[in-house]
Amino acid sequence: MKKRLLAVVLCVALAGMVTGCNGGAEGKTEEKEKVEQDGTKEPEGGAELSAAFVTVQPLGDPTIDLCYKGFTEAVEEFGFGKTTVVEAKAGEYEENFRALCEEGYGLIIANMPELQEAVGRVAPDYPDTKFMIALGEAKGDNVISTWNKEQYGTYITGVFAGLMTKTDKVAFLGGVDNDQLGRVGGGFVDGVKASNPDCKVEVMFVGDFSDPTKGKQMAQLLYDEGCDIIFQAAAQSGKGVFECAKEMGEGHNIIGIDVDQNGDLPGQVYGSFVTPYDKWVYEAMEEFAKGEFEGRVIYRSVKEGTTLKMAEDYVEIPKEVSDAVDEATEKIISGEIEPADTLK
Amino acid sequence: MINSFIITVLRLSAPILLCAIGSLFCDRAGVTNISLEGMMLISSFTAVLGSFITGSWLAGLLAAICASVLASLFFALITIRFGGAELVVGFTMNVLLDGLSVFLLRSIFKVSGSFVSEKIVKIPSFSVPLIKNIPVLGGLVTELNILVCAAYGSVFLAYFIFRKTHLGLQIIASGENPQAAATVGINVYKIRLLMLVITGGLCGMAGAQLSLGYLSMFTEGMTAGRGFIALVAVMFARGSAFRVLLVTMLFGAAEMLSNYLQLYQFSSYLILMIPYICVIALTIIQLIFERKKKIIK
Amino acid sequence: MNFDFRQQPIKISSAVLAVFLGLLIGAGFILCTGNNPITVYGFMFEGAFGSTASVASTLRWTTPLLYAGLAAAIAFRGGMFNFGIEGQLYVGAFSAAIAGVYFKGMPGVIHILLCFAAAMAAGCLWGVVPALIRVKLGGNEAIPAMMMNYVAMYLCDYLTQTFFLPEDTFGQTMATELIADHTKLPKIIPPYTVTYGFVIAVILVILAHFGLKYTKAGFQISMTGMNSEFSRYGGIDVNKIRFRAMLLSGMTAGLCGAVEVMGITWRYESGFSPDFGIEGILSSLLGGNEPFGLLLGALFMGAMKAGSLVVERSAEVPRALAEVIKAFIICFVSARYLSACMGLDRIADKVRSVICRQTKEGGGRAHDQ
Repeated sequence: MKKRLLAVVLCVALAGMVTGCNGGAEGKTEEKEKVEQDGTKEPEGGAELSAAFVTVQPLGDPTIDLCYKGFTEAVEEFGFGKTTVVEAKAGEYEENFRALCEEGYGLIIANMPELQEAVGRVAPDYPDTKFMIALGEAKGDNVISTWNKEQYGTYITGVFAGLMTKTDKVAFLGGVDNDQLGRVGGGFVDGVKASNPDCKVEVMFVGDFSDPTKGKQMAQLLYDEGCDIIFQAAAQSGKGVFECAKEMGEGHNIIGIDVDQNGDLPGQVYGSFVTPYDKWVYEAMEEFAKGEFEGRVIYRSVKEGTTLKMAEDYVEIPKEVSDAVDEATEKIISGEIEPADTLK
Repeated sequence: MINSFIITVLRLSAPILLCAIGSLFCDRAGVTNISLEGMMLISSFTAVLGSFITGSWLAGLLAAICASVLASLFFALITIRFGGAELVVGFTMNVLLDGLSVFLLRSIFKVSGSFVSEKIVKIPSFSVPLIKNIPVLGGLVTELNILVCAAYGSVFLAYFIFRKTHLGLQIIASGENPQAAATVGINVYKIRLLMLVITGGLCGMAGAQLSLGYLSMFTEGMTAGRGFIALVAVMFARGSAFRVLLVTMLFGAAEMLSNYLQLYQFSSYLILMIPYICVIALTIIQLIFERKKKIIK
Repeated sequence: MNFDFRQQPIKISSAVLAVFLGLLIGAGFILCTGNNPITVYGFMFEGAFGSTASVASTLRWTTPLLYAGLAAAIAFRGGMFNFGIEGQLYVGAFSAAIAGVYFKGMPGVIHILLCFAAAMAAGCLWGVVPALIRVKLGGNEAIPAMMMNYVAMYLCDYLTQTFFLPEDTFGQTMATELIADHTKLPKIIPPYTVTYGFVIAVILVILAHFGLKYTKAGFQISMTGMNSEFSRYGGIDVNKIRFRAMLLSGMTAGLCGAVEVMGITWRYESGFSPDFGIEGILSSLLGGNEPFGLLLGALFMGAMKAGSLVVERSAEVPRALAEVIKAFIICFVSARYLSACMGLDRIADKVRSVICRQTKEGGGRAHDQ
């Protein structure tokens, strides 16, 4: 009886608050907008630049850290006054973007394709807020979308791996079986076949981007099967691969992903497939700071630096191999080769 | 190659085994403790914390055990002293300790997702020199560490305690018929408290093995349901420590085998389902067996 | 292992004390991070109730908790442990999404009802295996239900990948196409994301309350949960009732997934549920497994979630703290003797007798409890 009464009272109170707050909130947001108007509309003239960094995978993930690096560099370089980092989990993307817009952030950097849909829904409602999606696409004049055609860069990586392997067996360990990793893996497999047709490529998926225990298990399995190079594209789970290679010692090698991981295990990392996310974020923030922000879709590929970075400082790379890599790079850039963009 | 398979199964089953034996003690004493997952997580975190701060893996291990025992004491306090429902409190503690480990990770180390550092010292492993090259036997004695040994030792310890000691008898009595046990003078509350503390210690070791023994890092949610697998093992075992060992080994082997299947081009999603389907199938098969036995009786 | 769960009512004094203690412990943690608990709780309150956006956010997070919590409550009342709510809401969401994508050309309302029906059927189906394990085989249904959760998640991803993946998604997430426009649930306070799913949920909760209390079927479920031996003695087919309770629970859980898909994401996305199943169970426990208690519990959890999002943005306190506080509160709520031990029971009784004496002319002792 008491509980029922309480519940009814609460609902009535809630209803009252909604109507009451409606009036109050409008006043509040109006005030906020007025204060932020000067900050967001005209970035020059010493007014405050503000930017928000929204991500799904938390900081600590090497890819996100790279994006964040670009973010912090731009913040320092161009003097962004108000910044924040938001980690959004499933189901709250749209809400977070709306809240950030209402709080008056001028530029919102969204990382990874999970967020693209939410940006697409929110951007039209807030034409003065600029968005940059660091891997994804959404429509709007106030949105910069970027896409990465990984398969070209990973083709070159495959060429490299096919030539560096001593057991004619390499492996691709992806995080989750989805489209993006299909591109990464598809290009890799083609590249290996092109440079070393006898080499076998094992493909496995950890099933999770944040289970290093499983990553280590799978790496163990692959090394035991005879693979001497694992191209790991599994974010945090990939750290388990490093653990395994460290334990098993020489002869068990890795190719890193997204960031330059060549120094993480010197001598055992032959190279990394690098994507200069930090540059992309930096460039977008630069445009915004200079008032030249233009909403468009950008396709990035090998030319802009999304390619293999060989670990020359740590590993002896024979000349034939680096020549082959250069040749493959040229062919890709000229458009002569079109690697597969899926693993099927 | 089969050696390597055995090695991995042993090392990965150790945490599950430790939790399962702990849960066995609780179960025999009449306490339903389903907070194993949470206790493993908080001790994984504290193990890394301890190792990072002091540079010694032993300190990490001790910290893990302390954290887990504290959690058990909290469980005991709420259920025994304050009359909370064991299932509710146990289930909720999983959420609590998971949240706590994430909170501490982000507040203390200011990172999220996972924490890796050179300063974390791993538990050292050893191998028996000559035997390790022999095919099957070698796998059993390579790359062991103190916790893996403790895990398998605890099975024998549990067997010994239940079968041969006075304490074991008291435990079983507390579980089967607490009122009768109390009449005979057994302090049921004390026994149950003791069991909870032991479980805490064992789960602490399990957590340490996950983060300091197999890897040298902590990741949010790294237990990934292993605590519940331990519970299933105990349920299948019907009170026998050796059956717990058997079931845990089977799970470890099933998980590794399912990894192998991925090499054959099956969809990774279907393969990842396999261990869980196995558990359900085994539950059903075992229950049907039990029913048949009852009918025959 | 003893998995019998007896339904026990919760006293208001216990609940209030539990909330207070939980917040106190939370304040302790906040102090450790170097923040002022009052400001942080202030942010939390503002984030939950401080503006239209906040209230909309609270309601949006309350909605799935109401469905999942109702599913948990129905199961608990029937004496069953439905740990499989997460899996059931996944298959429900998937079914609703497929129904929403592929049955174009139907009039609006019918299509929406079709999606709901698909979701309920799927959720119901997913509850069959654990229910059978308990009813036919006498085993415990909690762990198999939990295993079915993982199976459900992987199964839905596999089906999406193999059969239902839309063309040229550059994306990372396994997701289906968008559902038809008219199957999207309309928003109550545009442009915020709370939809009519909330209204439907509240209606269902009210229906559940009256159903459990005043209908024969509801009575059977309640009695079976409270004392199955007594119910059997009274002629109730305990097994059938338990089975029904589990299936009903599964249907409601499926509906949870459907409302989330049709209201928020507009497609099935891999991993769209941030543990709604577990949070639903917690909400139900907080409310003592009674529908109106669930309403309060879910509102509280929803408010905490909405608030913790703002806290994470504004202060440097991780949202995991909200989980910790919630869990502590529920532990304390379950601790029946806590308020007695703290002497609050005596205070509460005194207060009650004072109030009763003042309302009733001529005095008299307080008759209640």
